[in-house]
Amino acid sequence: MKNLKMFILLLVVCSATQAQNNNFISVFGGITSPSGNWTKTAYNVNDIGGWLTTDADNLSSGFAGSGSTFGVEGAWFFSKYFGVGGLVSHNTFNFAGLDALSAGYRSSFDVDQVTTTVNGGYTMWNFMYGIYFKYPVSDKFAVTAKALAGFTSATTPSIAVDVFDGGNDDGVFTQEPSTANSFSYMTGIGVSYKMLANVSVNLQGTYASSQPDFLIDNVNRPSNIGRLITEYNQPLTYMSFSLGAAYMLGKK
Amino acid sequence: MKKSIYYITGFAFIAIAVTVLSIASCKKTESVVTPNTIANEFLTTVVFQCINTAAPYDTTCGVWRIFPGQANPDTSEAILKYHKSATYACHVFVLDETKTPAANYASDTSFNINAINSNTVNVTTELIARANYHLYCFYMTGGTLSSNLTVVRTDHDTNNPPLPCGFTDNVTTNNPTSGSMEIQQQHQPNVKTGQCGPGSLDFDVFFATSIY
Repeated sequence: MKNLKMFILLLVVCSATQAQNNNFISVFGGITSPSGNWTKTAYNVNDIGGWLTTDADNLSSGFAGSGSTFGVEGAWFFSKYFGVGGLVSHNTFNFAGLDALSAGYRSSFDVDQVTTTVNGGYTMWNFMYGIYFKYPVSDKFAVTAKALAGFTSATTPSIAVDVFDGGNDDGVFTQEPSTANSFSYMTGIGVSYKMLANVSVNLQGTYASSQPDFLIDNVNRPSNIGRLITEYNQPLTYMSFSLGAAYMLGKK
Repeated sequence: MKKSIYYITGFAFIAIAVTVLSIASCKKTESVVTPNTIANEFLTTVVFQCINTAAPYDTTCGVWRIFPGQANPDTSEAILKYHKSATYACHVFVLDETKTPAANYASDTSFNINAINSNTVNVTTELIARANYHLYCFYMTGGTLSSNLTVVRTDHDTNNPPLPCGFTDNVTTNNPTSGSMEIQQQHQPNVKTGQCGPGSLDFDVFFATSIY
Protein backbone atom coordinates (compact mmCIF):
# COMPACT_ATOMS: atom_id res chain seq x y z
CA MET A 1 0.00 0.00 0.00
CA LYS A 2 2.84 2.31 0.95
CA ASN A 3 4.62 1.48 -2.33
CA LEU A 4 1.47 2.24 -4.27
CA LYS A 5 1.14 5.64 -2.61
CA MET A 6 4.78 6.40 -3.36
CA PHE A 7 4.29 5.37 -6.98
CA ILE A 8 1.25 7.60 -7.39
CA LEU A 9 3.05 10.53 -5.76
CA LEU A 10 6.04 10.02 -8.02
CA LEU A 11 3.81 9.86 -11.05
CA VAL A 12 2.11 13.10 -10.11
CA VAL A 13 5.35 14.94 -9.38
CA CYS A 14 7.07 13.72 -12.53
CA SER A 15 4.15 14.41 -14.75
CA ALA A 16 3.79 17.90 -13.35
CA THR A 17 6.92 18.84 -15.23
CA GLN A 18 5.35 17.83 -18.56
CA ALA A 19 3.30 19.97 -20.89
CA GLN A 20 -0.27 20.65 -19.84
CA ASN A 21 -2.66 20.41 -22.77
CA ASN A 22 -5.39 18.09 -21.49
CA ASN A 23 -7.71 20.71 -20.02
CA PHE A 24 -11.16 20.17 -21.41
CA ILE A 25 -14.81 20.89 -21.21
CA SER A 26 -17.26 18.37 -22.61
CA VAL A 27 -20.85 17.40 -22.97
CA PHE A 28 -21.89 13.80 -22.81
CA GLY A 29 -24.95 11.64 -23.05
CA GLY A 30 -25.69 7.98 -22.76
CA ILE A 31 -27.51 5.24 -20.96
CA THR A 32 -27.79 4.31 -17.30
CA SER A 33 -28.16 0.86 -15.86
CA PRO A 34 -29.11 0.67 -12.17
CA SER A 35 -28.06 -2.15 -9.86
CA GLY A 36 -28.81 -3.33 -6.36
CA ASN A 37 -31.97 -3.30 -4.29
CA TRP A 38 -33.62 -0.39 -6.03
CA THR A 39 -33.92 -2.50 -9.20
CA LYS A 40 -35.95 -5.12 -7.37
CA THR A 41 -39.60 -5.36 -8.39
CA ALA A 42 -40.95 -7.54 -5.61
CA TYR A 43 -44.58 -7.50 -4.54
CA ASN A 44 -44.68 -10.50 -2.24
CA VAL A 45 -48.07 -11.38 -0.80
CA ASN A 46 -49.56 -13.80 1.69
CA ASP A 47 -52.10 -16.44 0.75
CA ILE A 48 -54.94 -13.91 0.58
CA GLY A 49 -53.01 -11.40 -1.50
CA GLY A 50 -52.02 -9.11 1.35
CA TRP A 51 -48.74 -7.23 0.90
CA LEU A 52 -46.17 -8.54 3.38
CA THR A 53 -45.28 -5.49 5.42
CA THR A 54 -42.04 -6.88 6.87
CA ASP A 55 -40.76 -8.73 3.81
CA ALA A 56 -37.24 -7.49 3.06
CA ASP A 57 -37.67 -7.64 -0.71
CA ASN A 58 -40.95 -5.73 -0.50
CA LEU A 59 -39.40 -2.97 1.56
CA SER A 60 -36.23 -2.64 -0.52
CA SER A 61 -37.76 -2.88 -3.98
CA GLY A 62 -37.35 0.35 -5.88
CA PHE A 63 -38.67 -0.63 -9.33
CA ALA A 64 -35.81 1.22 -11.07
CA GLY A 65 -34.98 0.41 -14.67
CA SER A 66 -32.47 1.58 -17.21
CA GLY A 67 -32.52 5.15 -18.39
CA SER A 68 -30.40 7.93 -19.76
CA THR A 69 -27.76 10.37 -18.68
CA PHE A 70 -26.74 13.79 -19.86
CA GLY A 71 -24.17 16.15 -18.47
CA VAL A 72 -21.31 18.55 -18.78
CA GLU A 73 -17.91 18.13 -17.24
CA GLY A 74 -14.55 19.74 -17.33
CA ALA A 75 -11.10 19.44 -15.82
CA TRP A 76 -7.94 21.40 -15.44
CA PHE A 77 -4.79 19.33 -15.66
CA PHE A 78 -2.09 20.41 -13.25
CA SER A 79 0.22 17.78 -14.70
CA LYS A 80 0.54 15.77 -17.86
CA TYR A 81 -1.69 13.00 -16.55
CA PHE A 82 -3.64 14.35 -13.61
CA GLY A 83 -6.19 17.06 -13.26
CA VAL A 84 -8.98 18.30 -11.08
CA GLY A 85 -12.46 18.93 -12.32
CA GLY A 86 -16.09 18.25 -11.93
CA LEU A 87 -19.34 17.42 -13.58
CA VAL A 88 -23.00 18.20 -13.50
CA SER A 89 -25.21 15.45 -14.83
CA HIS A 90 -28.87 14.63 -15.06
CA ASN A 91 -29.93 11.00 -15.02
CA THR A 92 -33.24 9.28 -15.53
CA PHE A 93 -34.23 5.76 -14.62
CA ASN A 94 -37.37 4.28 -16.10
CA PHE A 95 -39.91 2.48 -13.95
CA ALA A 96 -39.51 -1.32 -14.09
CA GLY A 97 -42.02 -3.96 -13.06
CA LEU A 98 -45.19 -1.94 -13.51
CA ASP A 99 -47.18 -5.07 -14.38
CA ALA A 100 -46.06 -6.82 -11.19
CA LEU A 101 -46.87 -3.78 -9.09
CA SER A 102 -50.32 -3.38 -10.60
CA ALA A 103 -51.12 -7.09 -10.23
CA GLY A 104 -50.01 -6.87 -6.62
CA TYR A 105 -52.29 -3.94 -5.86
CA ARG A 106 -55.22 -5.70 -7.49
CA SER A 107 -54.57 -8.79 -5.46
CA SER A 108 -54.19 -6.89 -2.18
CA PHE A 109 -57.36 -4.89 -2.67
CA ASP A 110 -59.22 -7.95 -3.98
CA VAL A 111 -61.04 -5.90 -6.60
CA ASP A 112 -62.23 -6.34 -10.14
CA GLN A 113 -59.59 -4.08 -11.67
CA VAL A 114 -56.91 -1.54 -10.93
CA THR A 115 -55.26 0.90 -13.31
CA THR A 116 -51.75 1.79 -12.23
CA THR A 117 -50.07 4.82 -13.74
CA VAL A 118 -46.48 5.86 -13.28
CA ASN A 119 -45.44 9.36 -14.20
CA GLY A 120 -41.86 8.92 -15.34
CA GLY A 121 -39.26 7.15 -13.27
CA TYR A 122 -36.48 8.27 -11.00
CA THR A 123 -34.64 11.45 -11.87
CA MET A 124 -31.29 12.44 -10.48
CA TRP A 125 -28.99 15.46 -10.55
CA ASN A 126 -25.32 14.96 -9.73
CA PHE A 127 -22.85 17.68 -8.75
CA MET A 128 -19.41 16.16 -8.28
CA TYR A 129 -15.78 17.08 -8.38
CA GLY A 130 -12.54 15.17 -8.03
CA ILE A 131 -9.49 13.81 -9.81
CA TYR A 132 -9.19 13.22 -13.52
CA PHE A 133 -6.55 11.11 -15.21
CA LYS A 134 -5.60 10.95 -18.86
CA TYR A 135 -2.88 8.80 -20.39
CA PRO A 136 -2.14 9.10 -24.12
CA VAL A 137 -1.74 5.75 -25.82
CA SER A 138 -1.00 7.23 -29.23
CA ASP A 139 -1.28 10.60 -30.96
CA LYS A 140 -5.03 10.13 -31.28
CA PHE A 141 -6.05 7.79 -28.47
CA ALA A 142 -5.91 8.26 -24.74
CA VAL A 143 -7.15 6.30 -21.76
CA THR A 144 -9.08 8.31 -19.19
CA ALA A 145 -10.18 7.74 -15.63
CA LYS A 146 -11.80 9.74 -12.88
CA ALA A 147 -12.77 9.51 -9.25
CA LEU A 148 -15.35 12.05 -8.10
CA ALA A 149 -17.43 12.77 -5.05
CA GLY A 150 -20.14 15.26 -4.33
CA PHE A 151 -23.82 15.72 -4.00
CA THR A 152 -26.82 14.00 -5.57
CA SER A 153 -30.43 15.11 -5.58
CA ALA A 154 -32.86 12.38 -6.61
CA THR A 155 -36.62 12.21 -7.06
CA THR A 156 -38.80 9.12 -6.90
CA PRO A 157 -41.58 8.47 -9.41
CA SER A 158 -45.23 9.11 -8.65
CA ILE A 159 -47.51 6.09 -8.69
CA ALA A 160 -51.27 6.47 -9.05
CA VAL A 161 -53.64 3.54 -8.63
CA ASP A 162 -57.28 3.76 -9.66
CA VAL A 163 -59.41 1.08 -7.99
CA PHE A 164 -62.52 -0.35 -9.65
CA ASP A 165 -64.84 -2.83 -8.00
CA GLY A 166 -68.43 -3.92 -8.41
CA GLY A 167 -68.96 -1.38 -11.15
CA ASN A 168 -67.73 1.46 -8.94
CA ASP A 169 -64.65 3.62 -9.30
CA ASP A 170 -63.37 3.60 -5.73
CA GLY A 171 -60.97 6.45 -6.34
CA VAL A 172 -57.33 6.99 -6.99
CA PHE A 173 -54.61 6.75 -4.37
CA THR A 174 -51.18 8.12 -5.03
CA GLN A 175 -47.65 7.56 -3.88
CA GLU A 176 -46.31 11.06 -4.28
CA PRO A 177 -42.88 11.81 -5.74
CA SER A 178 -40.24 12.57 -3.13
CA THR A 179 -36.95 14.41 -3.49
CA ALA A 180 -33.95 13.80 -1.25
CA ASN A 181 -30.27 14.66 -1.30
CA SER A 182 -27.18 12.75 -0.29
CA PHE A 183 -23.45 12.43 -0.60
CA SER A 184 -22.43 10.55 -3.73
CA TYR A 185 -19.38 9.24 -5.47
CA MET A 186 -18.49 8.17 -8.96
CA THR A 187 -15.62 6.35 -10.60
CA GLY A 188 -15.12 5.98 -14.31
CA ILE A 189 -12.82 4.87 -17.08
CA GLY A 190 -12.88 5.63 -20.77
CA VAL A 191 -11.12 6.17 -24.00
CA SER A 192 -10.67 9.41 -25.84
CA TYR A 193 -10.12 9.90 -29.55
CA LYS A 194 -8.78 13.20 -30.85
CA MET A 195 -10.73 14.18 -33.98
CA LEU A 196 -9.37 17.67 -34.43
CA ALA A 197 -6.61 19.62 -32.77
CA ASN A 198 -8.96 20.81 -30.06
CA VAL A 199 -11.85 18.38 -30.29
CA SER A 200 -12.06 14.81 -29.11
CA VAL A 201 -14.77 12.29 -28.53
CA ASN A 202 -14.91 10.28 -25.33
CA LEU A 203 -16.44 6.93 -24.62
CA GLN A 204 -16.69 6.26 -20.93
CA GLY A 205 -18.22 3.94 -18.40
CA THR A 206 -18.89 5.04 -14.84
CA TYR A 207 -20.11 3.55 -11.62
CA ALA A 208 -21.86 5.80 -9.12
CA SER A 209 -23.60 5.47 -5.82
CA SER A 210 -25.67 7.61 -3.46
CA GLN A 211 -28.20 6.93 -0.74
CA PRO A 212 -30.85 9.61 -0.34
CA ASP A 213 -33.39 9.03 2.41
CA PHE A 214 -36.76 9.55 0.74
CA LEU A 215 -39.75 10.38 2.91
CA ILE A 216 -42.80 9.55 0.87
CA ASP A 217 -46.32 10.93 1.16
CA ASN A 218 -49.26 8.76 0.21
CA VAL A 219 -52.47 10.52 -0.71
CA ASN A 220 -56.00 9.11 -0.36
CA ARG A 221 -55.02 5.96 1.48
CA PRO A 222 -57.79 5.62 4.07
CA SER A 223 -57.32 1.87 4.27
CA ASN A 224 -54.17 0.09 5.28
CA ILE A 225 -54.11 -2.32 2.36
CA GLY A 226 -51.49 -3.17 -0.20
CA ARG A 227 -48.01 -1.81 -0.79
CA LEU A 228 -47.47 1.27 1.32
CA ILE A 229 -44.01 2.83 1.40
CA THR A 230 -43.46 5.88 3.57
CA GLU A 231 -39.66 5.89 3.60
CA TYR A 232 -37.13 4.56 1.13
CA ASN A 233 -33.48 4.52 2.04
CA GLN A 234 -31.55 2.19 -0.24
CA PRO A 235 -28.30 2.70 -2.16
CA LEU A 236 -28.98 4.10 -5.61
CA THR A 237 -26.15 2.48 -7.55
CA TYR A 238 -25.81 2.45 -11.28
CA MET A 239 -23.44 2.24 -14.21
CA SER A 240 -23.58 4.62 -17.09
CA PHE A 241 -22.13 4.37 -20.56
CA SER A 242 -21.81 7.63 -22.38
CA LEU A 243 -20.44 9.27 -25.47
CA GLY A 244 -19.16 12.79 -25.19
CA ALA A 245 -17.57 15.55 -27.21
CA ALA A 246 -14.76 17.45 -25.54
CA TYR A 247 -13.26 20.78 -26.39
CA MET A 248 -9.59 20.95 -25.41
CA LEU A 249 -8.74 24.20 -23.68
CA GLY A 250 -5.03 23.76 -23.19
CA LYS A 251 -2.22 25.18 -25.28
CA LYS A 252 -1.30 23.09 -28.26
CA MET B 1 -10.49 27.85 -41.90
CA LYS B 2 -9.69 27.83 -38.21
CA LYS B 3 -12.77 29.92 -37.50
CA SER B 4 -15.03 27.52 -39.37
CA ILE B 5 -13.70 24.61 -37.31
CA TYR B 6 -14.62 26.52 -34.16
CA TYR B 7 -18.11 27.14 -35.53
CA ILE B 8 -18.55 23.47 -36.50
CA THR B 9 -17.32 22.40 -33.10
CA GLY B 10 -19.66 24.77 -31.33
CA PHE B 11 -22.57 23.62 -33.41
CA ALA B 12 -21.75 19.98 -32.70
CA PHE B 13 -21.67 20.71 -28.97
CA ILE B 14 -25.05 22.39 -29.02
CA ALA B 15 -26.58 19.69 -31.21
CA ILE B 16 -25.45 16.92 -28.90
CA ALA B 17 -26.53 18.87 -25.86
CA VAL B 18 -30.02 19.58 -27.16
CA THR B 19 -30.58 16.06 -28.48
CA VAL B 20 -29.45 14.29 -25.34
CA LEU B 21 -31.21 16.74 -23.05
CA SER B 22 -34.44 16.19 -24.93
CA ILE B 23 -34.16 12.44 -24.54
CA ALA B 24 -33.03 12.61 -20.94
CA SER B 25 -35.64 15.02 -19.74
CA CYS B 26 -38.53 13.24 -21.43
CA LYS B 27 -40.84 12.02 -18.66
CA LYS B 28 -42.68 8.98 -19.86
CA THR B 29 -46.08 8.27 -18.36
CA GLU B 30 -46.87 4.59 -18.33
CA SER B 31 -50.18 3.01 -17.45
CA VAL B 32 -51.32 -0.57 -17.06
CA VAL B 33 -54.79 -2.00 -16.49
CA THR B 34 -54.93 -5.15 -14.39
CA PRO B 35 -58.25 -7.01 -14.34
CA ASN B 36 -59.08 -9.81 -11.94
CA THR B 37 -58.41 -13.15 -13.59
CA ILE B 38 -58.80 -15.23 -10.43
CA ALA B 39 -62.17 -16.73 -9.60
CA ASN B 40 -63.27 -15.78 -6.10
CA GLU B 41 -64.77 -18.32 -3.73
CA PHE B 42 -68.54 -18.53 -3.50
CA LEU B 43 -70.35 -16.93 -0.59
CA THR B 44 -73.34 -19.26 -0.32
CA THR B 45 -74.34 -19.04 3.31
CA VAL B 46 -74.59 -16.30 5.90
CA VAL B 47 -75.09 -17.25 9.53
CA PHE B 48 -75.96 -14.70 12.22
CA GLN B 49 -75.58 -16.32 15.61
CA CYS B 50 -76.35 -14.55 18.88
CA ILE B 51 -76.01 -15.43 22.57
CA ASN B 52 -77.74 -13.54 25.35
CA THR B 53 -74.94 -12.03 27.43
CA ALA B 54 -76.96 -12.37 30.63
CA ALA B 55 -78.36 -15.82 29.90
CA PRO B 56 -76.10 -17.92 27.68
CA TYR B 57 -78.78 -20.59 27.22
CA ASP B 58 -80.79 -17.96 25.30
CA THR B 59 -79.50 -18.11 21.77
CA THR B 60 -80.80 -17.38 18.31
CA CYS B 61 -79.27 -18.30 15.00
CA GLY B 62 -80.38 -17.44 11.50
CA VAL B 63 -79.11 -19.11 8.32
CA TRP B 64 -79.53 -17.51 4.91
CA ARG B 65 -78.43 -19.56 1.92
CA ILE B 66 -78.27 -19.37 -1.86
CA PHE B 67 -76.30 -21.46 -4.32
CA PRO B 68 -74.93 -20.41 -7.71
CA GLY B 69 -77.62 -20.65 -10.33
CA GLN B 70 -80.47 -20.47 -7.84
CA ALA B 71 -83.04 -17.81 -8.55
CA ASN B 72 -84.15 -17.33 -4.95
CA PRO B 73 -82.42 -17.85 -1.61
CA ASP B 74 -83.45 -20.42 0.96
CA THR B 75 -84.78 -18.29 3.80
CA SER B 76 -86.51 -21.06 5.70
CA GLU B 77 -83.95 -20.72 8.49
CA ALA B 78 -83.25 -17.01 8.11
CA ILE B 79 -85.13 -16.24 11.28
CA LEU B 80 -83.96 -14.43 14.42
CA LYS B 81 -85.87 -14.35 17.70
CA TYR B 82 -84.75 -12.14 20.54
CA HIS B 83 -86.04 -11.61 24.04
CA LYS B 84 -87.08 -8.07 24.88
CA SER B 85 -84.81 -5.83 26.93
CA ALA B 86 -81.78 -8.01 26.39
CA THR B 87 -78.30 -7.77 25.00
CA TYR B 88 -76.85 -10.42 22.72
CA ALA B 89 -73.29 -11.03 21.60
CA CYS B 90 -73.45 -11.95 17.94
CA HIS B 91 -71.20 -13.24 15.19
CA VAL B 92 -71.51 -13.11 11.44
CA PHE B 93 -70.20 -16.23 9.72
CA VAL B 94 -69.86 -16.58 5.95
CA LEU B 95 -69.58 -20.03 4.43
CA ASP B 96 -69.03 -21.62 1.06
CA GLU B 97 -71.19 -24.74 1.03
CA THR B 98 -70.96 -25.51 -2.68
CA LYS B 99 -69.05 -28.72 -1.92
CA THR B 100 -70.89 -29.57 1.29
CA PRO B 101 -73.25 -32.58 1.33
CA ALA B 102 -76.82 -31.39 1.77
CA ALA B 103 -77.15 -33.33 5.01
CA ASN B 104 -74.30 -31.30 6.47
CA TYR B 105 -75.44 -27.80 5.64
CA ALA B 106 -75.27 -25.26 8.46
CA SER B 107 -78.40 -25.50 10.58
CA ASP B 108 -80.07 -22.87 12.70
CA THR B 109 -80.62 -25.36 15.52
CA SER B 110 -77.14 -26.79 15.87
CA PHE B 111 -74.68 -24.42 14.26
CA ASN B 112 -71.15 -24.54 15.64
CA ILE B 113 -68.45 -22.83 13.59
CA ASN B 114 -65.87 -25.14 15.12
CA ALA B 115 -67.70 -28.23 13.99
CA ILE B 116 -68.66 -27.44 10.41
CA ASN B 117 -68.41 -30.13 7.75
CA SER B 118 -64.93 -30.66 6.35
CA ASN B 119 -66.18 -29.75 2.86
CA THR B 120 -67.56 -26.44 4.06
CA VAL B 121 -65.23 -23.48 3.62
CA ASN B 122 -65.33 -20.96 6.45
CA VAL B 123 -64.82 -17.85 4.34
CA THR B 124 -65.06 -15.72 7.49
CA THR B 125 -61.41 -16.39 8.27
CA GLU B 126 -60.34 -14.88 4.96
CA LEU B 127 -62.77 -12.01 5.33
CA ILE B 128 -61.37 -11.16 8.76
CA ALA B 129 -57.89 -11.15 7.23
CA ARG B 130 -59.29 -8.65 4.73
CA ALA B 131 -61.10 -6.68 7.42
CA ASN B 132 -59.42 -3.43 6.41
CA TYR B 133 -61.75 -3.13 3.46
CA HIS B 134 -64.86 -4.89 4.67
CA LEU B 135 -67.73 -3.49 6.69
CA TYR B 136 -71.01 -5.01 7.83
CA CYS B 137 -74.03 -2.77 7.78
CA PHE B 138 -77.32 -3.55 9.52
CA TYR B 139 -80.68 -2.08 8.63
CA MET B 140 -84.02 -2.72 10.39
CA THR B 141 -87.33 -2.47 8.56
CA GLY B 142 -90.93 -3.33 9.44
CA GLY B 143 -92.94 -2.69 12.55
CA THR B 144 -91.01 -0.66 15.06
CA LEU B 145 -87.90 -2.79 14.78
CA SER B 146 -85.63 0.10 13.93
CA SER B 147 -86.43 1.81 17.23
CA ASN B 148 -86.39 -1.37 19.33
CA LEU B 149 -83.30 -3.17 18.10
CA THR B 150 -79.83 -1.73 17.75
CA VAL B 151 -76.68 -3.37 16.46
CA VAL B 152 -73.28 -2.10 17.55
CA ARG B 153 -70.15 -3.46 15.92
CA THR B 154 -67.60 -4.49 18.54
CA ASP B 155 -64.54 -5.34 16.45
CA HIS B 156 -62.08 -3.12 14.63
CA ASP B 157 -59.65 -3.49 11.76
CA THR B 158 -55.98 -2.48 11.61
CA ASN B 159 -56.48 0.71 9.67
CA ASN B 160 -55.10 3.87 11.20
CA PRO B 161 -57.26 4.91 12.98
CA PRO B 162 -58.95 1.52 13.46
CA LEU B 163 -62.38 1.31 11.86
CA PRO B 164 -65.30 -0.94 12.84
CA CYS B 165 -65.91 -4.18 10.95
CA GLY B 166 -68.99 -6.00 12.24
CA PHE B 167 -67.86 -9.63 12.36
CA THR B 168 -68.78 -9.43 16.04
CA ASP B 169 -71.66 -7.30 17.26
CA ASN B 170 -73.83 -6.49 20.21
CA VAL B 171 -77.55 -6.58 19.60
CA THR B 172 -79.69 -4.74 22.14
CA THR B 173 -83.45 -5.09 22.23
CA ASN B 174 -86.21 -3.03 23.80
CA ASN B 175 -89.92 -3.72 23.27
CA PRO B 176 -91.64 -6.56 21.43
CA THR B 177 -92.05 -6.08 17.69
CA SER B 178 -91.17 -7.78 14.46
CA GLY B 179 -89.71 -6.89 11.11
CA SER B 180 -86.68 -7.64 9.01
CA MET B 181 -82.96 -7.30 9.66
CA GLU B 182 -80.94 -6.62 6.53
CA ILE B 183 -77.23 -7.45 6.70
CA GLN B 184 -74.92 -6.14 4.02
CA GLN B 185 -71.29 -7.02 3.60
CA GLN B 186 -69.76 -3.98 1.98
CA HIS B 187 -66.50 -4.30 0.07
CA GLN B 188 -64.77 -0.95 0.46
CA PRO B 189 -61.33 -1.03 -1.14
CA ASN B 190 -59.66 2.32 -0.59
CA VAL B 191 -62.94 3.92 0.46
CA LYS B 192 -63.52 2.49 3.94
CA THR B 193 -64.22 5.25 6.41
CA GLY B 194 -66.36 3.33 8.89
CA GLN B 195 -69.51 4.55 7.17
CA CYS B 196 -71.92 2.43 5.17
CA GLY B 197 -72.32 3.41 1.56
CA PRO B 198 -69.11 3.60 -0.43
CA GLY B 199 -67.81 0.54 -2.23
CA SER B 200 -69.79 -2.42 -3.47
CA LEU B 201 -71.87 -5.18 -1.89
CA ASP B 202 -70.51 -8.68 -1.47
CA PHE B 203 -73.93 -9.77 -0.25
CA ASP B 204 -77.21 -8.31 0.96
CA VAL B 205 -79.31 -10.70 3.01
CA PHE B 206 -82.51 -10.49 5.07
CA PHE B 207 -83.54 -12.20 8.30
CA ALA B 208 -87.09 -12.24 9.60
CA THR B 209 -86.62 -10.79 13.08
CA SER B 210 -88.86 -10.65 16.07
CA ILE B 211 -88.59 -9.43 19.65
CA TYR B 212 -90.89 -11.14 22.12
